[in-house]
Amino acid sequence: MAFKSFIIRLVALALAATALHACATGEGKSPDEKAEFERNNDPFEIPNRFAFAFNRAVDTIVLRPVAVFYRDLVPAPIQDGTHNVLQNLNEPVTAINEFFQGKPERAGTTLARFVINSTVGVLGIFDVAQSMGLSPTKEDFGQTIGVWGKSEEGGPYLVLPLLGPSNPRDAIGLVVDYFIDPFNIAINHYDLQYLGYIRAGVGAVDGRSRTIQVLDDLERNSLDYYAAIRSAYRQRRAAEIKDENYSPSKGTGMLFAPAPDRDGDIAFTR
Amino acid sequence: MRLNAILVSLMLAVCAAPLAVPFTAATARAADADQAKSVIDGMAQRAISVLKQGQGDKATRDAQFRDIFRESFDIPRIGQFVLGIYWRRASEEQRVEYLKLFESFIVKTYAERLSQYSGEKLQVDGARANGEKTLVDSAVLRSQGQPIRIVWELEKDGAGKPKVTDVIIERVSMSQTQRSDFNSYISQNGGSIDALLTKLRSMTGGK
Repeated sequence: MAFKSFIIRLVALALAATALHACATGEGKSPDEKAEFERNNDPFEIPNRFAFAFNRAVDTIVLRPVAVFYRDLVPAPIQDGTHNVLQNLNEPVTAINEFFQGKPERAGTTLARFVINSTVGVLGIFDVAQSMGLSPTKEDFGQTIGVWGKSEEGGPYLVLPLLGPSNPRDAIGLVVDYFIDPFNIAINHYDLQYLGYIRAGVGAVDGRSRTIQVLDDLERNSLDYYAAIRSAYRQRRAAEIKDENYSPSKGTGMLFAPAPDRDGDIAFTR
Repeated sequence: MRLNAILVSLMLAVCAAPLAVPFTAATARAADADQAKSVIDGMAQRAISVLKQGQGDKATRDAQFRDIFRESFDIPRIGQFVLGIYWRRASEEQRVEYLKLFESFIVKTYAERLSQYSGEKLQVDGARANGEKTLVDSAVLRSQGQPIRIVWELEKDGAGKPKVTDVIIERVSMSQTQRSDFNSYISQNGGSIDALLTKLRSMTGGK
């Protein structure tokens, strides 16, 4: 229940951000500075930097050390199995989003993956479907909104406490994904919230353990880590949506075809 | 009669021109694609051979990397793009120093990345034209985990040689990210380009 009210506050924040955005412009700046300001689309930079510093502290003190420990000391098969279970739990949400995006075939494949891996793959521990030629995809409601609106722009940049980089589109996406997830519905129905917390915690460690190298690299090689993350987040989300906006029937060539979205590689501590 | 023949051939040439242009453009493009691919292949092979020499001190290795990057990357062009709106405001002296520091910075960044090399392979998949640019698709194959998709963007430099102008790793452009990074750093420091130069100097060891 606590999580629910947190989520509701999050939506309120996202909506407020969208409303406020209209008022915030780069006053007293030269035209090219204004253009740069608009490109960054970060009218809440001050609170965002504050949230970013908070997240970074939590990451440095808790998440990253746990993720390093997990990556280096937990046997690889256990890490793979854990990742597969998490991925399997996420398949229904992906399938629903693929359906919303008008890709019933892709949704069918995702559901087939879910059924096969949950049974033959022992509750999702083994990705048996992959070896049968059914590759995983990952779709969220933020992407669905992007596909519906045919736009890669998600609104002003937001750094959410504990959840990381976002924008109103993706924040709303997070909330919708939470509520359409059959597992969350079941958890809330049977009052088993602790299962949700375990899933979120393990998911955070799994995701972070896969981004240690790339984020360390970005941090070391940037002058303003906040700005580098902001740019990388926006580019990546835009590319994920753009891929979906190309229809495979158009045959635009290898790289423009919707590529399966690989989970976790640069997820930015989701 | 002779004038007529000239006129006819002229007309033929004019009429044929629209047909000829796409044809030559297509062949030129295919040639560009092959050339771009070989730039990336050659660069990867040279970098790997430097890494495989193993021993040798870090300074020699870095010098070798610097040569490879100078040859394959259009560092002045990338540098100018990355400085963004501040390029026009920079004085001639600032530009010269900035480009020198930027080169060291890029070499340091990539040398560091490459030093973590542990037998990965760069598989070059193909090349395609994108306006004036050529994009080379590749993947870093690792012993563990998913391959990392890397797209190299190449453009011809002043001498007509294709050179890398951007590296897009898992759909994130390095040039774009660096541009946001540098521009933000300057604006955080009250728009001072000198602040950026000082920072780059300290990050690259004052060279």
